Amino acid sequence: MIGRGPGAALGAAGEGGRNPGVVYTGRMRVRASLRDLIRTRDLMRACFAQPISLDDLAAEADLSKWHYLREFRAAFGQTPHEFLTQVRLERARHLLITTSRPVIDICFDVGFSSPGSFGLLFRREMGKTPTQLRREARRLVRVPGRYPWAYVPMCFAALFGPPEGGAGGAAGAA
Amino acid sequence: MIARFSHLCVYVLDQEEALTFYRDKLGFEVRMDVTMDNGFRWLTVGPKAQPELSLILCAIREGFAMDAAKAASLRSLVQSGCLGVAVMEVDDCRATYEELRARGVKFKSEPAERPYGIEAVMVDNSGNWFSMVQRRK
Repeated sequence: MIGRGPGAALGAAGEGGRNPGVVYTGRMRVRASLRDLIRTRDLMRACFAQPISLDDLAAEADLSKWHYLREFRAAFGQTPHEFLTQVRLERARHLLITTSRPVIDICFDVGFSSPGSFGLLFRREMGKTPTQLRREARRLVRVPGRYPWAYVPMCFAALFGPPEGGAGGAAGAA
Repeated sequence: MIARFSHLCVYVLDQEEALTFYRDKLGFEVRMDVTMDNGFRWLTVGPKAQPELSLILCAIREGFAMDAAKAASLRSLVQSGCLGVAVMEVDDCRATYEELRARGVKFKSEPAERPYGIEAVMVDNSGNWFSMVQRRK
């Protein structure tokens, strides 16, 4: 597997056949769980629209709840809940830019159960309310359903974008 | 202060084929896939274990600062297989080599002992190559 994380960092020097005598204890266990941790990330990306509990995720990783939480944070630098929220907010931003679905519907579409917390989290993460973001994007979108150039980094907009400098500043694809 | 790299650009011959390669053969996750109003497609993928770095799978096409001649030479450079893009860290080079080869991924060189670890050189389906290193501990 290609990747980085506690597993790769602690990696197994011996697996290439160079140190067959090395006994792995804790390290092996951490490394084995990287795939499990990744599976829970896949699960969150695939099922973000549904309620997903920490218990569900820990069960998927075959770890205890708190062990799972610790391992996930150590591997990815954020908690599963933070990751799930990020996935939902990114999806919401995408829908705000590319569709005309009402904000309240988007909130529920992406898996939030309360418009209040959706608005709050969105604003904290994106620096503006969903409505403000949509209003801004609207001014930049020229073909419905397509993305405005302002949402890809400037250098790419300059290379491949429209000649009339429609780039309009970097900020935020990622 | 520059904190870290968040995106790297990989020029590919065909985005759809590159997507299949990076997602289905390398097992990367798709981070963003959106299309601009002139058809430019912003497609980013990354290793599942490294969420903070994305590869931009960038189609070589004409644009404002990329005229037909430049696009053609870039295309032929990529295709010729002379461009090395990056070094990837793997936890087990030989196992990953076997795993990827079984999925039809091509390699320029098999896993071999180097002063810094075990290295194999993988080629994507456009011609870009990546060094795959299992670091010496």
